[in-house]
Amino acid sequence: MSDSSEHLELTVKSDLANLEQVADFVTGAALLLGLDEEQAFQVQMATDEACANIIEHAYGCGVEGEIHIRCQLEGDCFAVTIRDRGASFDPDSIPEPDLTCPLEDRPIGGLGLYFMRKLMDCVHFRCLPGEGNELRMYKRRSR
Amino acid sequence: MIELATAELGGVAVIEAVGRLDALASSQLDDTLKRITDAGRSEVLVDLAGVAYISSSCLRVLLLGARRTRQAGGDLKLCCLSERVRQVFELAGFDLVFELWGSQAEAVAAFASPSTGGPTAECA
Repeated sequence: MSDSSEHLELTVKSDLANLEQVADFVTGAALLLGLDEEQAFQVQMATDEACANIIEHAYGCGVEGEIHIRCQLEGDCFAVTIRDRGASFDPDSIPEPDLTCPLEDRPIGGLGLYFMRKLMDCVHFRCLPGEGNELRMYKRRSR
Repeated sequence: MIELATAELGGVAVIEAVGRLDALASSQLDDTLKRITDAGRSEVLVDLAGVAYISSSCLRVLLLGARRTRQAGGDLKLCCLSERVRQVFELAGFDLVFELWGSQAEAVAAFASPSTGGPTAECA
């Protein structure tokens, strides 16, 4: 982990065993940069879901790659940027889960992306040609 | 890191989870639930008192486990959710499809009297 007055960064291998380290890092960064405990938990959860998706889908289990996480303030927002070099995906192709379905009919997928969008104020995916994927998520600080 | 202990209470198979229920833990939780349902048990209680975080991957595992128990005529209930974990359940709408109880004793009693209706108690 590197640290400056402007941002904090962490790079980990794409292994589910590293999710806890990512959670600790993002929680610490969020609290350090002025989010409250509830907001820090929400940012941690959104980041955990994003990194799990990268490990399990962008890279695929068993394929090794790196995940780079950068946290910083942008205006009045806490911004977390996550980069990977795995396969790209179209977030718009993932339907929003129907939360009113009975258990027997409830779709299995789509919850992780749904959580990210519900917990953060802004979620933006970008494919960087030749450089992988970038996810930027923003959380507005409480006044 | 997650620790999953199994126990028996009033004829109900109980799983006590301690730690983070993230994507790393989901296969362990899935294995534990499958061992129980494959053994023919259809009444399962998952105690989340020691869990501060649950991810979508573990919610999916619980959903699949609940389907198996209900297809066998039983149920999968949960108890002792922390405030944060309960919020995650509510965000996912899972509070509408799972019975969430305040204690193991209350949940086990509900297996015996399934008509008692909607539980909402928080873990003390």
